[in-house]
Amino acid sequence: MNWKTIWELTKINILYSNPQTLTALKKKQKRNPKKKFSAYKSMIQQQLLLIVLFTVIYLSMFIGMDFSHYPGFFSFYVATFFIMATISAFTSMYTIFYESGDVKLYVHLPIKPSELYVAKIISSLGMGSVFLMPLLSLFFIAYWQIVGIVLAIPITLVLFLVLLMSSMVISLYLNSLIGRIIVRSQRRKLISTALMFVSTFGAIGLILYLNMTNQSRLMEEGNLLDRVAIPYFRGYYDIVQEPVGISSLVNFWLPLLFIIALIIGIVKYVMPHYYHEVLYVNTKTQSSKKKVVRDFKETSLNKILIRHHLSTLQNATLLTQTYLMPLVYAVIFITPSLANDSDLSKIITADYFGSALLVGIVLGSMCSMPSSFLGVGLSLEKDNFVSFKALPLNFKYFLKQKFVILFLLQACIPVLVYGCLGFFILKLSPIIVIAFLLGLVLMTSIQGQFMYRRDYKLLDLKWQDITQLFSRGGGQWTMFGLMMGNLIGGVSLVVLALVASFATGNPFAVSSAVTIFIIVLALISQLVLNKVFWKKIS
Amino acid sequence: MIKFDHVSKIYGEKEALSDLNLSINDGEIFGLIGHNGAGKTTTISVLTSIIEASYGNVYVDDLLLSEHRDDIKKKIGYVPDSPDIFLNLTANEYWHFLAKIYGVDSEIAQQRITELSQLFDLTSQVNDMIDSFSHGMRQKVIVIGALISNPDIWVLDEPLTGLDPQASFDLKEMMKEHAKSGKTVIFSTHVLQVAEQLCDRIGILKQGKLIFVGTLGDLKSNHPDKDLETIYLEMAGRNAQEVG
Repeated sequence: MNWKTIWELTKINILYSNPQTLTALKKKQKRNPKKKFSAYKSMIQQQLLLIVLFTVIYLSMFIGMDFSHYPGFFSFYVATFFIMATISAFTSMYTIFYESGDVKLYVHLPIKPSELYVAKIISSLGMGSVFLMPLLSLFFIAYWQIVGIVLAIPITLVLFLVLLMSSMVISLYLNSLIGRIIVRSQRRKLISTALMFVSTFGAIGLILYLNMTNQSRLMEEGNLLDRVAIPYFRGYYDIVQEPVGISSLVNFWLPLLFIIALIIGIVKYVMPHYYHEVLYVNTKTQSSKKKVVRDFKETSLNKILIRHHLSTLQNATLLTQTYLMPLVYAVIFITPSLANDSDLSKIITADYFGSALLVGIVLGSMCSMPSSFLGVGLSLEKDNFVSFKALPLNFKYFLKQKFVILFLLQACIPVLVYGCLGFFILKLSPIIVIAFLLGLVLMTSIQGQFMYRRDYKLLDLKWQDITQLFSRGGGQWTMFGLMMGNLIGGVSLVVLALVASFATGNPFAVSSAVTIFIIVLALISQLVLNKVFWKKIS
Repeated sequence: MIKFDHVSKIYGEKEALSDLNLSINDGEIFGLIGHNGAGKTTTISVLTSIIEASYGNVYVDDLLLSEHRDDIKKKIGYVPDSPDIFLNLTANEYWHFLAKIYGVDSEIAQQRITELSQLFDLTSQVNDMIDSFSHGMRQKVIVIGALISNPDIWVLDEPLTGLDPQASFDLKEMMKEHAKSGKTVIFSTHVLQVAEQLCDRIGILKQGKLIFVGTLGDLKSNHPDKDLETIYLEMAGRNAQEVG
């Protein structure tokens, strides 16, 4: 292997694996054209800064606990961050190894497949290691408490490297196995979307589950009881406490041997066949793909346009971004309620429909962010956008139709999920559920129109990676501002409505007032949107 | 010398390249001509290791391609049909990246980059992102990239598409110069006039089969009363079977 080549490839891959950051850096470069600029160095600096920040924050969080007496808690934290890091590394690796489509750029160059493979591993290190950083703090504090500060430093570094390596190797194996299935599949897009969805959602679910278990046990007799130590992850505790004991053998040494065997497998069997796997197999499946033959049917223009609108949305990242957020909130919303065995239907009676409407509005806002269908739908058209403008077609109608399709698609999943949740799981009053869903739909429509207008104003038809669209016009800050604004503003309003209901003893009257207030606000917003957007489109 | 020995490429049930036997000599400009889907890009892709042949062997300077891919890749400079690559890099970053991959000394690389960027009128844009370039400018960037290592074999897939007349003229001159210095130039085109201006020999492909190899003089002498376009269409065109 030629390490010079690997370093050059790593630099390029760092750029390609962070298109969102690259766009921001390009803007920075435009503002200071004379300043010497190295995109990959800036990105490495950003990653390092994030890593240091994570380490320091978690250092302060873990310092209050004596881990030498709580191996269960220790293993719980190791498991939590290990799962997050591995899933995060796996998803970013999948994008870098299989979705980036850059292998064809290198295959004719004198670059060995193993060199490109190693470069891709190095460039995806950042994503996984960020989530592992809290464990560097945890290891240091726990080992300091167990063996003293002098020994703690080298032990922390060595065991953290073992952990990082284990996480990376597992991610690489997942990546290789699942990537292999996906590139051979006829439904590549569908499977990769499902994969992103399941992995992210699964990780969140697993962590929430871990968090919920033992929750009641912890407070027994007023003392903080330890959690049950989690196999394998407890190995990083056992190895320091008793390096040659049976528990260390089972939870540390044997898994380490297994990881080493996996590394040998990757070096011998996966790396040398990388080009073949991605390119040749891919070419084979693509070309042997069944031809899509559709008998010509006289179809209305509307149907053709709708089919076109739907075809622009086939992007795994976008689908995940659009639909994941509502589901994440659902998990966060439902787990505490199920864990506490509380009967919400008895607490929230039909008279509180105004508060339900407000909660729906808060969630509706979170479901229509700049990274959703409505936030990027127009830019997804790419060059088609200009072509449609040139066609003898009412462009305003085209834009309106597109909005309606995107809105319906964007709203349907949250409505379905929350509808089922409210009616069948939480068994809330139908009026409460309907009020909540109306709030959600109303806000998705109003904020969605603002997002649609934002996309129109910041139109980018030359994007290469969809994340570039999410970051336009300070996209992350817009998202952060909306989230915080909604949480603070929305929750304050809900609390205010509840307080007013209790104070007046007439929740129905308060709910009616809230509803009227929201309807008036929505009407004003719609009038503003008509004036500043819809009427201005020529 | 490049030799295709009974090379076939099969995609599912479709034979994109069928039993190709072809030798291309050093110092030769060889044009691959054919309709869309005739097998030109497949031939080039097999030679540049972008795809593997299903059957047969390719030799470059007596080295078997499937066994010496890395050595052979170092001999080849490749210009793909789409110049939309490495868009997130500046032109300079892209060229220096290639120079390092091909192991070109940095001083020599800088000298070549300066000369070539001057020749292609790109001097003032070398630090701009490729993303911001027009199609023609991107094509120039890729052409310069392929020449930085001064390759023994220069392979170009539809190289003149999108170039302005001056750049097109310059590129053709460079292809001639490259061949004059004893190196091989292989390119694909469906523009017959370009083949006429440049090629020492041509190969006409039709539905994956090589139906003619030789000089344009050979081709014309077989059909003395007809112009090149008519001859080509009779051989490879829609009504070839009926006419031929």
